Amino acid sequence: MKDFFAAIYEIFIAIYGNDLASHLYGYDCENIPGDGLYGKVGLLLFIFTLILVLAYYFKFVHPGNNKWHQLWLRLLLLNAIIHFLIGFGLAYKDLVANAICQNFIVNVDNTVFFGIVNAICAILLFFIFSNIFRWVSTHGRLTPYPK
Amino acid sequence: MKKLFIFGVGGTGSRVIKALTFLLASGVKIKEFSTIVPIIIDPHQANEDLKRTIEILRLYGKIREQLGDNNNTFFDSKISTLSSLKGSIGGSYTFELENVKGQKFKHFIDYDSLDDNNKALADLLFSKTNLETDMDIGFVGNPNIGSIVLNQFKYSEEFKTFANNFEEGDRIFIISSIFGGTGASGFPIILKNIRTADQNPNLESKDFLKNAPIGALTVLPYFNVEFDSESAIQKSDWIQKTKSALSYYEKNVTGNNSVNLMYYIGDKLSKTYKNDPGDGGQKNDAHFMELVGALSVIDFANMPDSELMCENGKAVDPIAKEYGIKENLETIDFTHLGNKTEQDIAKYMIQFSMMMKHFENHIQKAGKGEVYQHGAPALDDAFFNDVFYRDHFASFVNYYKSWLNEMATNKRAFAPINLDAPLRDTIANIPAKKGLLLKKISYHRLDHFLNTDEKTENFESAPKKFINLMFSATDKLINEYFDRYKS
Repeated sequence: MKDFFAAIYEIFIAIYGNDLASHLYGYDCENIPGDGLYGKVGLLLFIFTLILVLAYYFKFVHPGNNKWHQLWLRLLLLNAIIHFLIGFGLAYKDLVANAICQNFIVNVDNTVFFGIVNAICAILLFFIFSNIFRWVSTHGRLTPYPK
Repeated sequence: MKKLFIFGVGGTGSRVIKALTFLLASGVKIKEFSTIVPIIIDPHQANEDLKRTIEILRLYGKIREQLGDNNNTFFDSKISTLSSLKGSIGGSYTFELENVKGQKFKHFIDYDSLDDNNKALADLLFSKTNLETDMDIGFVGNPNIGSIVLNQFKYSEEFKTFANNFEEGDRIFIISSIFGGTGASGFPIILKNIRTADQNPNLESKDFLKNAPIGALTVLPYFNVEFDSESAIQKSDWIQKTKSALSYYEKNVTGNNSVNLMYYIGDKLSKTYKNDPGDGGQKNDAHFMELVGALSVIDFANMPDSELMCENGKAVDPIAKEYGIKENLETIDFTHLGNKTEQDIAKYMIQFSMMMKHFENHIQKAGKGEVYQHGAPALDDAFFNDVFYRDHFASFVNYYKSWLNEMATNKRAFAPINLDAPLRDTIANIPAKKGLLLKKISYHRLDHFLNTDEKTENFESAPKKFINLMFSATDKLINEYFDRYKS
């Protein structure tokens, strides 16, 4: 699972840097891989986004309001913000707790950029899930493609 | 492909056919009969009731043209004109009487050229007022005139078309009132010509016709007219005329087993209308009795063949039926009807009324843009502005609403639907179910069912989609909120 999420996040490795990526993968100063954060952040991203999309398509959206697309957009942004905070927060926590190997050059900017990458992933995943579940939703079939 | 031919004679005939059309539009079933063929016989072509019925039949036909067969939904039964049975488009639902337009009765019988003896006989049979009757406005309560004029029926092209299209398995129903002129005289003439079809050299299907299963409805007085000493229509005559006609029927209609199934309906509780012999247009409000009349057509159509056997033009086992309600109240609703009637019509009428409310209050307002409207074929602005929806459907719905309104304000009043109440109070005396876990009944709940059904079904055209979805969604709504009508 860690490798799966790492492969996805590291598409954007240029944004948050190789050193933070090594720490997130779980490498310590001896280059021995541990659990890392990719698995945890990725799993949170997957589960939380899935719950939010399912809630939208099968619970929130119902007849009687033509502004469901706005709610979808708000949830998409909320999800992005939450996962920015998760990505940034967990990486920053390790940074301030000196849990990152001193050989890795990581600063606050790197953690913010990782938060941004996590938010981008949240947006993409939300969009992908929406396109899957809209087909089986009764009332949300037109979201996110209003006619 | 069995056909049910319905002869509607006179004003009552038109009004009963109108009620039947609304029942069929609601989805009420006439089992086994693929086509209903109404033939209205009324010399009073300017009669507003007749004009209204013809327009309603026309709209029904136009709507159904777009829906096609096998929908099992609103407008399920096919209503056809006589001429369209032969494959031609259009045609008329009325039987055109010849030589009545602008004619007085004395001109019709060529009174002036009669010799003295025949003149004396004519004077004996017809009063001076009878002879001076302008037949543009009907027979003005004079069956003695009607029985002469309507005799042309057997020579008419319409009768020939009817007879030549009549096939084994088809049935005939004749609707008339007994207290007027046209109905009271027309019914025995039509019946006689059918039962003696074998003597008519111009007809095919003579044997089928002679032994056809025939049902008839004869409507006894159910409304009154104001007293007017100048008018040819007198309320005081009606009971006497009814008795005379019944006595005639006893020998020549029911008494000689010409009819397989005879329905008698009437009501003592009645409204008094303005005394209008016909020249004022004669537009009576719809009445519960006419709905009961329409039910008799449905009852007849649903009778098994074994009950309607004929031999040598005579019913083997003739039956007579009447109709009653549970309580003698001035205002009645579905709960006062017999269980069978309620079961046969209530749910369908409620469904149609809910569609009507959705149409009037919601679909193009708060309900516009709902998901079900977007899937192909789309119920978009092009559909809402199309002649099907904007003209045919909207006009039909207006007529349906007027029909319900008129029945609700007549005497005896039949008010089963609260037209202007919120959806939860649509059915009189039966409020929608409530519950902690049950969502409140609303147009949005109806939209929910429309969205749900649209997802699982495919439709050939937008009108078909609209009508089919409305039928299935209203069915689900009633099942969810009204246990009494749960199916």
